[in-house]
Amino acid sequence: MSDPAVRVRDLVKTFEVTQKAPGLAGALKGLFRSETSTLRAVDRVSFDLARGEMVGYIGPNGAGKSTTIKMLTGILTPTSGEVTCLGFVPWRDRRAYARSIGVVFGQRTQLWWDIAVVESFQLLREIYGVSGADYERRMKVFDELLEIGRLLSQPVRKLSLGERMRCDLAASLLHEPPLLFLDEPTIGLDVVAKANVRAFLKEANRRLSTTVVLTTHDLDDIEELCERVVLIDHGQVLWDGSLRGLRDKHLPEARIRFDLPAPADGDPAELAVGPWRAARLSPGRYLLAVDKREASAPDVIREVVRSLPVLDLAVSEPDIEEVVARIYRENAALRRPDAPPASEGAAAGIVAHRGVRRG
Amino acid sequence: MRRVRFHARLLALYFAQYAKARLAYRADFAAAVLASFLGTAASFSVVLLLFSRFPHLAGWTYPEIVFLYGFSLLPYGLFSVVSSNLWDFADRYLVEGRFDRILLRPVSPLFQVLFESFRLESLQEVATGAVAIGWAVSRLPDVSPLGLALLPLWAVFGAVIYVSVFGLLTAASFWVEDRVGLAPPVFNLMSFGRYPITIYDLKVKLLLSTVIPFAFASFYPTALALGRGEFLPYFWAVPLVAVAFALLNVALWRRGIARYGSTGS
Amino acid sequence: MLATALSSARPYLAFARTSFLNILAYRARYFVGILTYFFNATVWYYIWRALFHEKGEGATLGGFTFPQMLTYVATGWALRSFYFNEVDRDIASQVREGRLAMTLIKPVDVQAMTLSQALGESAFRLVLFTVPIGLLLVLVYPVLPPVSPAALALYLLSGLLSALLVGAINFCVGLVAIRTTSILGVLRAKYLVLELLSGLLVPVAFFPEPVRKVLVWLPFLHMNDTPGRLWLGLATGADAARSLGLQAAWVVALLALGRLLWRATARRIEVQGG
Repeated sequence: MSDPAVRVRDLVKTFEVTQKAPGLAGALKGLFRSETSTLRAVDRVSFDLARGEMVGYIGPNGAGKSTTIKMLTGILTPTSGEVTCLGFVPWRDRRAYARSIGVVFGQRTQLWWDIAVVESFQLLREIYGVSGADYERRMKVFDELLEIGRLLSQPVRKLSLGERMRCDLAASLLHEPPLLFLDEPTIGLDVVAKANVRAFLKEANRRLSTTVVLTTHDLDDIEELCERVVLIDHGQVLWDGSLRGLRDKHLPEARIRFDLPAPADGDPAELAVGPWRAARLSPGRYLLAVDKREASAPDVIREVVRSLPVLDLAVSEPDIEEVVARIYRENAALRRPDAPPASEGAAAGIVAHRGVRRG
Repeated sequence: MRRVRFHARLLALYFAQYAKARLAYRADFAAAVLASFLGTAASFSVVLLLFSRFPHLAGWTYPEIVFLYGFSLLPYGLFSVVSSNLWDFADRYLVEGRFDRILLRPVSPLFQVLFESFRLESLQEVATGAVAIGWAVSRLPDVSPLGLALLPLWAVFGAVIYVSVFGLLTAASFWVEDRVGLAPPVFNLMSFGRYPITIYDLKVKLLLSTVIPFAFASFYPTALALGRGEFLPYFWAVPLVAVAFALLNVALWRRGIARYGSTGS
Repeated sequence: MLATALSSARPYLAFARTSFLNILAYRARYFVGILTYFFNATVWYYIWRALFHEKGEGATLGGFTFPQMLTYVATGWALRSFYFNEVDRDIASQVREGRLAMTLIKPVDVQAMTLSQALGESAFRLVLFTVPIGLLLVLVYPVLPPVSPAALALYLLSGLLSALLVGAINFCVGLVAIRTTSILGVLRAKYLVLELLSGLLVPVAFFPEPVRKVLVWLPFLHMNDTPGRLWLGLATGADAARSLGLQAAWVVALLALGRLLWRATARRIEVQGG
């Protein structure tokens, strides 16, 4: 079990993009030839996944998430770099490798659109050579966890998004693949459906020790499911580690919100609290944000309570959405022409940049 | 061999599942069969209108022309049953991104594209063709029994030729950015393999026998049954042409899929 | 009056221009398309040649001499390259994919929008398909010129009406096809039936008398048979006027039918949400 399930080294994918000149003249020109430019969608990405690990692969739109997943599943061939999944090179051994993985694209179903769900499962059973006994047993489990029993007789096109996703998840695990890729599995689902999907994934990961790679926009998915996140932007890995670590590194803030009695002459927009400054949120309500590396939350609270007639007080941390949004923003700022070149390492660049802003 | 058995079993299952779903909406299916039959009747009428006034055309009797036309419906019908996805492959698979899902399954991609859905109503064409052949045979003095016996098999080869030619054209959409694809214009040309090839001049004969070998799908296969000795070499070449074009098609799809893997579109 | 007409046409001109540009992008289809039309006409040249040959030199068939028949074929295929559109397929897929639900809340007329798209496409096809195809056919085959300048004018007018007629027919066909699950199957059958009934493949004069009597009361022969006969001078004077009048009347009638069908479809979209 020392071999990683997935090993990715210096993975690069570039695309030629056709440029269409605007207008009638451009279209006429396009009739005979067209201009292209190169887009670097994935840029030297490396990581390992241990067997049974569940990792979140996140990044803003167009960051290169889907392109990476497509290379890991054998759909796309990389421009350069190495990938070994379960001992296969995905794009080279595509068909043999396909037997060992399950893939769910949240946006698109893998089931046949017009036929009843159960018929789709029959086809998949045949395709993956699942024995009759295994099939019965697994379908029973799926029904327990995902309640797909009553959906089986309906054609896929008649299912709601949440119902369809449950069926898709079951379909992707019908052959009990050791490696599962999920691309936006909760997109468009309501709260209950999301909870179902997450519970199912946890259970599958626990029982079968399936290795799971999950891309998502919904960071709640990650918080609930993944110990580890790989954050990518502009094709490069900006962070690989725990979610906690990501927060501590990029936005290590403690936030103390407190209420004061309304003064007769109106309250000031800013309030000095010891060496720190609190900003007014609304009349009588202030927020004090401090860098946790400079002061501990209890110290700050003590100072607030000591120096002000506080009526009420609450402490919070920035939520993960905010942390990630800040990283994207900073990375985007870094990529402006006047910013230092990105080649010196984007992650390092971000830290330096943060230091400047907050210094 | 195991792979052939696997794919044959899968094909049967695909077909059964699809037919079951299709027949669940009986009235709709009946309407589709009717529409399909109207189309066949219309194109058959063209032949009847033109040739029924002549006892002979370029050395072909009227029943022979009907035989030719009737036979042409067999490979055409079989082709139509499986070609529905080729028709809008670029749109449905490449633009809408369904091809990714195809690549994620441990089954030949071309196989999946061909057999993911069927146009069941086109079996009507096979039946109509068989009836037309039956009528023609009843008026023709000496039809070769061996030629007749081989017709179904040759019809399958013909269908393979059609599928391969359109498969090749469809594979072009891996390279050519074109929502509609090249297939529709060439589709029109299929009907011309249905007339006696002797009416055309050398250029057209060459075209129908080489680049777009539709004559091998629907004209030459009748040579043995109708006792046309001069076309017998072509008759026996039909299986070879079918296999050659099928291999060409598979090879081009391989290249196309490799390209898809590097461009993602 | 003209100004208001122009300004109300502006959004439709934009639609027309968009479809114009869209086609330009499809270069491969373009070159293959030209060749296909040429090849279709070529094969029909050979079929007719064989038939006329059977009858003997200088013979007439259905009232056509061989040069006239060849001209009928050439002008017919050239015209098809002009009036061809896929309004039926477009409208059907738009309804099926629910894209028309949005246009219901916009102040545009769906039929007018669709037809201006079709006419935009036709204007475009005139330049890029019809003219090159026509030139190619005239260069390769002994196509007869129109019998008179008047015949040419009538052919052009009739050709324009054909484009409108095909647009109107296809709009209806698309809305009917949407009621089945095999839209493509219905559309394919439509092509085969219309190729027969329009006179594209075989002039209406070749049909048996009883069928012909029915056909003259249907719109389809105005797609090809009417313009073809005008070019050849086989319909002149009162006959020509009557044919054109009927053709125009059919355009109006089918547009009206299209509106009715669209209203029914729109109701369904409103009820079912697409």
